[in-house]
Amino acid sequence: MVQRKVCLVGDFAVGKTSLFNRFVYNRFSETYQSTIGVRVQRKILKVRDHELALILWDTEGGQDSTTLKESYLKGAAGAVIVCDLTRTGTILHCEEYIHLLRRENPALPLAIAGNKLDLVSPDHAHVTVAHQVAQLFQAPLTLSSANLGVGVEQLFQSLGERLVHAQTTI
Amino acid sequence: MHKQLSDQSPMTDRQTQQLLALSVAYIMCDAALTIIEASAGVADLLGLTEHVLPGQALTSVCLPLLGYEAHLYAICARTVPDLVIEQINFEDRHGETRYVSLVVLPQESEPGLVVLLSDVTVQSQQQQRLQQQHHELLLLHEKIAAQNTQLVALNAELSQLSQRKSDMIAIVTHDLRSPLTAITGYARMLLDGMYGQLLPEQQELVQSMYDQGQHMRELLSKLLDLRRLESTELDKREVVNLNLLLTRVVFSFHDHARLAEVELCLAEDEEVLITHGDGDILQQAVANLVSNAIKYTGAGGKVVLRLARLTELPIVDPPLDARHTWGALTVADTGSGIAEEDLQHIFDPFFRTAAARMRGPAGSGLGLSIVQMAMRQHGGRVLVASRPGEGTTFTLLLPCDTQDQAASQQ
Ligand SMILES: Nc1nc2c(ncn2[C@@H]2O[C@H](COP(=O)(O)OP(=O)(O)OP(=O)(O)O)[C@@H](O)[C@H]2O)c(=O)[nH]1
Ligand SMILES: [Mg+2]
Repeated sequence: MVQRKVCLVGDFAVGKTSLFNRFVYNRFSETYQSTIGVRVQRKILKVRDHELALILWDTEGGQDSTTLKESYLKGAAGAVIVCDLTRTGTILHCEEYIHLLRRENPALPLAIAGNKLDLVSPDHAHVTVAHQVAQLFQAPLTLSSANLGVGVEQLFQSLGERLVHAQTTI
Repeated sequence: MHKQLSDQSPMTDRQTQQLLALSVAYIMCDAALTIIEASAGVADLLGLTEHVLPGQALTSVCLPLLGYEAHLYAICARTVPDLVIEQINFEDRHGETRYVSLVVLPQESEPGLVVLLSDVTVQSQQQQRLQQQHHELLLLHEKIAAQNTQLVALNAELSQLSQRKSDMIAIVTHDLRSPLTAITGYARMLLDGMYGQLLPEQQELVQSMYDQGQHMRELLSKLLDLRRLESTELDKREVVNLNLLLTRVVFSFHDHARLAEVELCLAEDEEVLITHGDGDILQQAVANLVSNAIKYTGAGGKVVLRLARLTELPIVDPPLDARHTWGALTVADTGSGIAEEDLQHIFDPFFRTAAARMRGPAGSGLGLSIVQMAMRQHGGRVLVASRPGEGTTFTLLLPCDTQDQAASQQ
């Protein structure tokens, strides 16, 4: 089976662990438990009759991209940059994460998750900013809610499809 | 084995040395990344349910190494330095989060790798607690900052609206004043017979025109007062002798009260009370109360003004600052009183009680709003107590100095 390493990155408390837990275990917790280091888990995805094993890396978030340990990124075939739609800073920081990931591999398949959609209206200014960032850096944006389980499958599914074709890693 | 390893390896990296000293498990594999040997603690440290056996692929046992294959081969070939992956966490059998750091080194004697695993749970848990607190604090900070921005924007919008309203009132009142002055002026001239004697019916109609015009002028000047009072900052902060102020008000209403056959009196108090603020505004506020009291107290009634220092502070919301001396200025009448359901609205601009409306157009409904705003500007309060049929008492509470206090401050 094809196996692909995918890293979840983004500022603290944006919902990386929540998206990870929703996708892998279909569970969600309201309580914030900040991640130290990294958690790694395998999840099988069906991509057009084929099975793809995603090796998901839920990383520790900081105040910006500078605290992200680059050793975690090595060997990643793709990445999800998560931001919190209720916090502008986390959306604007997506740019830094994108630069960091593309520095090693400009063709690395990336996806942006605009998370906590349940807390903002779809026409909120922050959502517009997220769309603009996504467009500017040519990375598809998925609006998600780990809480409600909205957009989570779609986020990983569409990234998975791009991973099957792309063979490059960091 | 552990000892042997550290003896053999040519490591100089201090961090790696430290990790080696801490490590509690190891895996050895060949150049094809197939496990040759693993210490007993590996399965437990990696949260595996089964033992790690020779022949298994390193990346199938140690999931976090998946994706690093190219790097692992390079370590074997000694073309890149050792690999360190810190704080990989997973849930153990009891649901507790365990943290493991791993270091991958080349084997010394033959082509292959050594993976050293060390349990860093204790220090990671401490770090987690600190990080958690730090992040929660940052979130709180962000939230407050966001709320502040919202408040500032809202405030700006509000003051803009309020300013616009004030400007409107100013323009309207100004533009209305001049034509009104003309209308009442001409009416007065007609009434005075400057253009010939009027027939009795004409006289009555023109008189009504004149009265209504005068009423409108009063309304306009009250509106202007109100606008002046809306600014929370006082323009003037002079010494105001409240005893003198009351005397002046009583004096100015003397004729008015006599005409209405209402007894107006001042209950003297020896103590002189001084407040600080705008004497004109305060006098206007008291005058509004007295004017109302006379209006709603029929012939034969009584209006009493009283000034006293409060010896006991009444319970009001928000509470009075007990560090001040408080003066209470009361205007009590024996009039018709205010109905219970009206009491809570009497300070609303333009509100008039049913009884007031019955009396015709002579009230603006602004008098009490002015009183309330004047108190707000002066850090005071206005209280009202009323019993329909028995009368009404308005009390103005103002932070004061006694004469001695005022003298000692100078
Ligand atoms: N309402 C809502 N809350 C969410 C959502 N996703 C995450 N949260 C909450 O946001 C907080 C942070 O979520 P985590 O998933 O722990 O965030 P993280 O990005 O892993 O944070 P770090 O590990 O510190 O980097 C938690 O209290 C979650 O319950 C969402 O979609 N909606
Ligand atoms: Mg997390």
